[in-house]
Amino acid sequence: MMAEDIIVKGKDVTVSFINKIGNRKEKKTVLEGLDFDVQRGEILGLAGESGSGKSTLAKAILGMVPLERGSIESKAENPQMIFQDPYSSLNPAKTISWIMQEPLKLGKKKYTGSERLAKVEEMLGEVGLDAGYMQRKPGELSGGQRQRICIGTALMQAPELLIADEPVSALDVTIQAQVLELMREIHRKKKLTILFISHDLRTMYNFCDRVMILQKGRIVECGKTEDIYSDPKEPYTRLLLESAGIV
Amino acid sequence: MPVIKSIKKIFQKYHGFNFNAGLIITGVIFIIALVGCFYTPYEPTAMNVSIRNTAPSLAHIFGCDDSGRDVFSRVMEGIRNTFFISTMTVLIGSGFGIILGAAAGYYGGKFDEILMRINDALFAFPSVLLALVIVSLLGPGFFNVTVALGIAFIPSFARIVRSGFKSQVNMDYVQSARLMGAGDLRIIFVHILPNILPVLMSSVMIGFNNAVLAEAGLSYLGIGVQPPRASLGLMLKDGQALLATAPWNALFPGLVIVLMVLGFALLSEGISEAA
Amino acid sequence: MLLDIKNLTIEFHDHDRPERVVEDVNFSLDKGEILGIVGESGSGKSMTAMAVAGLLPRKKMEKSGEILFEGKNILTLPRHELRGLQGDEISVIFQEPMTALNPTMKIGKQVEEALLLHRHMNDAERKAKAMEWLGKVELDDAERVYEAYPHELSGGMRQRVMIAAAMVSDPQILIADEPTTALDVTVQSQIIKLLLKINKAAGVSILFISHDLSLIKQITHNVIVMQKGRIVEKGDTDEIFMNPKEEYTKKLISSIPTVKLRK
Repeated sequence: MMAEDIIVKGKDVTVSFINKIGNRKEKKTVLEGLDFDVQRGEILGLAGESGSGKSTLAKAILGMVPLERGSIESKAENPQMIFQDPYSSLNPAKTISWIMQEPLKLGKKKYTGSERLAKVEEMLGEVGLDAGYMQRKPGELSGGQRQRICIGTALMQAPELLIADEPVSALDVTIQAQVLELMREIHRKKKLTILFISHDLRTMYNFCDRVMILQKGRIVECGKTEDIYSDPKEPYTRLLLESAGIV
Repeated sequence: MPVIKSIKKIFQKYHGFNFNAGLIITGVIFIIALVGCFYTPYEPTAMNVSIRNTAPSLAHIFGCDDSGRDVFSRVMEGIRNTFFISTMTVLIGSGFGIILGAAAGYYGGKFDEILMRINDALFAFPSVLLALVIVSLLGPGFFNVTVALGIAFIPSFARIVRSGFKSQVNMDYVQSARLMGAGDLRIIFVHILPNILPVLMSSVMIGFNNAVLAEAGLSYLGIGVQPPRASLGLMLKDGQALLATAPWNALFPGLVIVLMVLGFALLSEGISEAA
Repeated sequence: MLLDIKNLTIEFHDHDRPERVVEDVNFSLDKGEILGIVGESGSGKSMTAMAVAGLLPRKKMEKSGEILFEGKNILTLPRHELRGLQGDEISVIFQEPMTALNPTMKIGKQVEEALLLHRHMNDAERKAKAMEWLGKVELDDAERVYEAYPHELSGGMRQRVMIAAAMVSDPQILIADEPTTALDVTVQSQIIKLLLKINKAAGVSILFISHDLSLIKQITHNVIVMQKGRIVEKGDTDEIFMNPKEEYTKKLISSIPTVKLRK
């Protein structure tokens, strides 16, 4: 039984892939025995370098990769994900209107065409874009605008959990700040739980309530952001913070 | 129908010289084929020994053949038959090609491997040769040639569609559609397929081209359209013997084949230019 | 003054409408200086760097102004003379070390490439020089790396190899175009430290292109801020970070997430 305020609980989460190199099969363990929980309404940061398994953990929570061992219990309704590369996360052949209506067509509740359009227009407003974008295609939009569309699309099914996999890493610095501000605002308004995956410890400090540091598929350290940053217990956490010029 | 809508958009997008020229040539030939269904100046099979091998004149603008049949009327019927066979060939080839290629590219794994090995084996044969094998199993004739060519064309379409799907299937937009609860069929046909339509359209045009040539080839070998019905390849074969005495017998069908091939090639070029 | 850029303007001509990507850019680079060019996408920073490296395509592009290096204008230099400079006096390291290295060629050969093209040396001398630089970029087991192929190395090691290959001919100018963007943070800071060390030891001038202001702050002496092809502000790095004059510079600096620990 999960406690009331815990939305996702992982126990001994282990994921491995079989790599085929020629005829030789090689088992690679990407996540090994992770125990964690995500609290309802928090922003949990998932930090680590490439190969730390942070993206795999996100996919495991969404049930997109099979677990070799352990379990993930999730109470989150309609979990959604936004991705790093806003160029590949929107279907280039479709209009913004079509893309944003799609989650409504696929959801349990049925809407008429005009209801859908009204909802799309409203959501565009919420992510800071006007209705003029509806008939455009992703190719005509800038990276920041696309990421706003991605956020809006993800919110259409009113998810309880939003996983953001490096959502601002591909954007220009000034745009990064704007998109983060939008996410903060949405978090406040919708009482979302956000799992924020990033390699950028500076961004995380201002954005996350708690952080979890991953290295090579294991949790190095997990706790309140301020505690981890001011008083890292593990040498690896200290190394990361030093490299980012924080301590 | 989103697929039809995107095809329409593709046509709106292309307006280069190649595309326009191709469209005009194939358009004119298509209209002739269409008219040929209802009206030909003379009955294409009506023989009249008294006008055997007469040269082009006002009454018979393409002249008359060895049996005294009007070559122009026979060319019209030939275009109609050739057009019908190549259209069916491309429809069968691309239809099954899309289904098999999409399934292989989308699901991957063992299914993909088995399907593609079979595909490679078939692909190793030139499609005309493959069609020949199938015709020899089914027997010659109009319908059988259509089926044979259609089957022979599946591997090349399947391969193109598969590689298109392979390049799209791991894109984040597919992942996010899946997260929103879109089923496989919807992802394949509504989300991914429109993205590979430009490539597909271009190869459909090349497919037309190959089908025209293949049909002409098979009929030339005498295992396609059977006399007294007309086909461009068949007429070319019959006219060959008379090349010195009555060149119009072979010249006009040959010219039409060249034009058809040119038209489709220009269309294909125009489509890939704009993509 | 090692390099002097005057009124550099670059226009693209492959669209219907010519597009000015760099406009009236003036700056100079001194011996031993690390000069940063910082800007967002579309600022023209990479284009400027490529112009200095002589790597701009000759067609579909109009260039005016001067890039003076040892009295020669790189923009108008004939191709064979330009080739004499590239990889000898002016070297470049790129963002993506995987694509910048030839996957089918052993590391050692790639590091020696510049020597093969520009120096009269025998095999043993070349190898000695390459090994010397593989050591200087702090690769452990240089002997093994010399015989390895790029895919056998990690991203950080590949970037070290790139630096060795760029430095082996003792160039006067090293152009580093986002050299650490593709790397992990811990590796990133190692590469930055390495570049600083090489700058001190070899006296090479570095033109450091980046979108990352915190990196620019760490490594450069002077900085140029670019936006939409123009220079917005230039000057001493510490000075600009302390007292930015222009609105855009202020906006850029304020968008670096600040970390003020409570402790």
